[in-house]
Amino acid sequence: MNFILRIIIIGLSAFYIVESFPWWVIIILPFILGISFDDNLISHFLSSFIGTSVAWIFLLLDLDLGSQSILSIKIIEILSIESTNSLIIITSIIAGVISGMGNLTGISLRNILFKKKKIREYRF
Amino acid sequence: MKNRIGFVFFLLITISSVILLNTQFSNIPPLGKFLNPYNGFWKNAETDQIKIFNKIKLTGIKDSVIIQYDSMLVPHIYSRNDQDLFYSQGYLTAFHRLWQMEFQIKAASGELSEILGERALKRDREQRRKGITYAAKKTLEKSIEDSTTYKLLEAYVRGVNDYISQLNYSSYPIEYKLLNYKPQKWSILKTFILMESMSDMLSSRDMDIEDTYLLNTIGKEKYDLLFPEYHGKIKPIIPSGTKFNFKTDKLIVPEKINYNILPDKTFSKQDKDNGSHNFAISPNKTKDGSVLLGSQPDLSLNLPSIWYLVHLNSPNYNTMGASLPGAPGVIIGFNDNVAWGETNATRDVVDWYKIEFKDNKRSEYKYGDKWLKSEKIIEEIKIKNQNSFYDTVIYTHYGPVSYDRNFYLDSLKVNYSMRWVAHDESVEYKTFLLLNQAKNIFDIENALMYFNGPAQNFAYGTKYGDIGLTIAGKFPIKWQEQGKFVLDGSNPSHEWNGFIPYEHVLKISNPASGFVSSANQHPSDKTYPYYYFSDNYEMYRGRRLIERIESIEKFDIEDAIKVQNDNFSYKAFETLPLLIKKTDTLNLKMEEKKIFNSIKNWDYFAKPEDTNTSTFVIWWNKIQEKLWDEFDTMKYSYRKPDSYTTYSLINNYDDLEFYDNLNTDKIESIDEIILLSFKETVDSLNAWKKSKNKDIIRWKEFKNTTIKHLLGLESFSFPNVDVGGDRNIINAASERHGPSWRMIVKLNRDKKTEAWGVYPGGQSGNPGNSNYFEGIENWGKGKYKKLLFNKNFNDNRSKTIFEKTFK
Repeated sequence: MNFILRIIIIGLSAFYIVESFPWWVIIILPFILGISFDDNLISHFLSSFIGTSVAWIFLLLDLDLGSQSILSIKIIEILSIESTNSLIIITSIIAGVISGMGNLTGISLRNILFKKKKIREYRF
Repeated sequence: MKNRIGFVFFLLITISSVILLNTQFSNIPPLGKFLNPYNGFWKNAETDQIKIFNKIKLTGIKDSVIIQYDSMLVPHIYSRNDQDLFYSQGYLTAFHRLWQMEFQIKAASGELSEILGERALKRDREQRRKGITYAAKKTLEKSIEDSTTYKLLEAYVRGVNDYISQLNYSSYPIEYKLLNYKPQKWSILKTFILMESMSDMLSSRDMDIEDTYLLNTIGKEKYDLLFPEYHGKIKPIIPSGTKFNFKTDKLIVPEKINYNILPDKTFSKQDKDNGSHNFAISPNKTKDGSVLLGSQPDLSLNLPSIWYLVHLNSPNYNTMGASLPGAPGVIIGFNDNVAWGETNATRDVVDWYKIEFKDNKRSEYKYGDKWLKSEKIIEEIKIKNQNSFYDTVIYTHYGPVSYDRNFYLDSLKVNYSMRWVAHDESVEYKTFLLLNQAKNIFDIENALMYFNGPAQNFAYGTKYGDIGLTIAGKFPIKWQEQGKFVLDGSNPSHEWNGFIPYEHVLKISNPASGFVSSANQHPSDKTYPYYYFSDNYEMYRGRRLIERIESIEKFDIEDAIKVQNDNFSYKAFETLPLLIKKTDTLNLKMEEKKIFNSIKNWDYFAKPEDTNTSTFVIWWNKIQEKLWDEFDTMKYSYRKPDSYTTYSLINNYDDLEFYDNLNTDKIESIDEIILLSFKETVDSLNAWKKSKNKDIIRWKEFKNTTIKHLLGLESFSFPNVDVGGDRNIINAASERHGPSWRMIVKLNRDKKTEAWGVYPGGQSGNPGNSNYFEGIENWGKGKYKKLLFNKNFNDNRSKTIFEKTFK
């Protein structure tokens, strides 16, 4: 499946997760996409990473602006983080990496289940 | 093969990262759980109050209930029956304060290690060995007898638990997320533990062991000189000269024994400054003929605040004021007809009995010529991420054997058992529920009869023009000096001699002076037929309060507010002229002279912007440190003479062995100590200026009054409040302690009850709520808000921000 399309699907799903689920459900869709579609590892990782991180940045910015940083400025002091923006970026990157890992787990499972044909075509 | 390794590798990394991000490491919360946008801490940010109020679901009510919130976020509950009323109070208190409610209980009952880890173990052991839960259980057993009140307590508990059951991780208060634990169910026992923790805060402070040690070390004569029970200048709560028309049985003082084996440490002491002031002004002393009642409890200044304001209305109740989160009803407040407020009645209600066990099994202890059976309770203290700690606490008929070979005592033979009135079953909560409904002075007196916990000075007034003050509580009858030092638990004649009957309790109503007041000072002069004692009678606020009220001919609300916010330092007014007289000014350098002249002209008001208060405070502290440095050489716990005694000794004795400073070879006179201390004061002031980069020292900046979050987290706390006053001043705001609620009520026969109040904090205990710091600035400046109080909810409507009817 198209790289961009995957980013959009992962991003949208991460954006619309409801609060009653634990946060780590963000790995489930990337995992499924990993099993279902063949592509190289980097492309898979990046699609999940970008999709999830961007979704989280939007979610977090919305929460932070919506609350005028009323709580985040207090939390960064407890966690010794410089600014709320750094907090948002760090959090989003972690989420991106985790969902990317989920995706890689999926694709590597696919590689065991469906014996891969030797790739001969090289793209330049 | 390669594919398999790849899969296992990625799988492991993914799973372990998720687990890592869901685990707490020391003080860092589980980051994934805590930071995520779906249900992490972000969900605790609350800027739109209405949106949050819309989440309220009162599922357990029998009839319809109307809930309104005013702009201070005070809930106004209008219900059709009492059970729904207290159910809603429980629910709505938890709605704003759940974490604090539970944390206070954990702290009181000695279960903090469960959430904070090993760092809380020592504190937990102390609380267990004080028997807080043991006392609460006794009250629980007693409370079942009174089924009406019990049902109301049950309704409150149901309300709290219904709120808890509606929560999920996303809606947990922020502190649960930070410390990574879950709220547990509330219970009536927890409400009683809360009441016991108030008793603990206000009455468990005692100096019996310290004083016994001092008596052994310095001898009776010096002890009496340094720690007198009375001073000539006291102005007791019940005015001197009041006649007591009853006699008491003469008690025979048994022989005392010397105690050489004492615990080398004692329980951490409650804050010396825990106290309060209150007053009631009668119609002939007010401008418009109303009764005015003022109440201001001075306690540790914390966030969330110790108080939660509520207005409760049902066919039986229409009451408003400060409640304790976790207990039903109003503790300091008013209704249509009466108003009341408490201050701590500082009385020695804790005594220590030396216990001798028969053998190492410790199952029997000596009492007269018999051996009595002891009871063993094994306390399991759960510790976060560690194995539980087990502590065996033995109980005698006196109470818990707090100090034994396992705790602060290195002796097999000698043990000390605590006797504390708070360990007896008591039904204080009933007093408050009755006060909440009281219609006149007789109802109030009837309510106070049930108050058999550690004593409180209740000041009250009614709309019919009556005022009064009763020192209510459970007072053991003691022979002269009984319980001032440790007692012999094997000698039956060392037991308390019963309790003072209610009709002999100190009280005063409608005095000719036109007012009653109290501020933790001596309750009466020496003519009261019963012996009483405390190591901690306050010598300054009470005198200032009485003199200040006397100086105002006719009171109105503004005067009452001024009294509560009075910054006059009686201590400085009394002490400073003596220090100035004794300072050898010839020996002062230029800069020192400048500061000396400045303080000489000080008006003794510790105003926020004042520049002399810090000079006096440091100077007086340094003098006391130098005078009593002999005490610092002692091996065990001790206390030092208080400020007033120090002043009066300097005033009356030119020469005392304690005047010498041990750090120097020569023997100093008091004048030399005063001069040296002054010079050091100037150095400290300069050091402070340098470190803060400031030219002048404003009192508020030097003092740095901080309202601290219960976990001590800086960003959840409010430092540097713009407020004057200090300890021993009516406006008692010191660094971490002070007026936790200021209330003034006006009662008039022809008008609705009116009240004003402010406290240093917000109704919402959530650091992410825009209301969290709400009252602090107004509190510091002495700006009160008029409280919204109407019998009919329709009359509130122009001033409420939310209203909903629940069915």
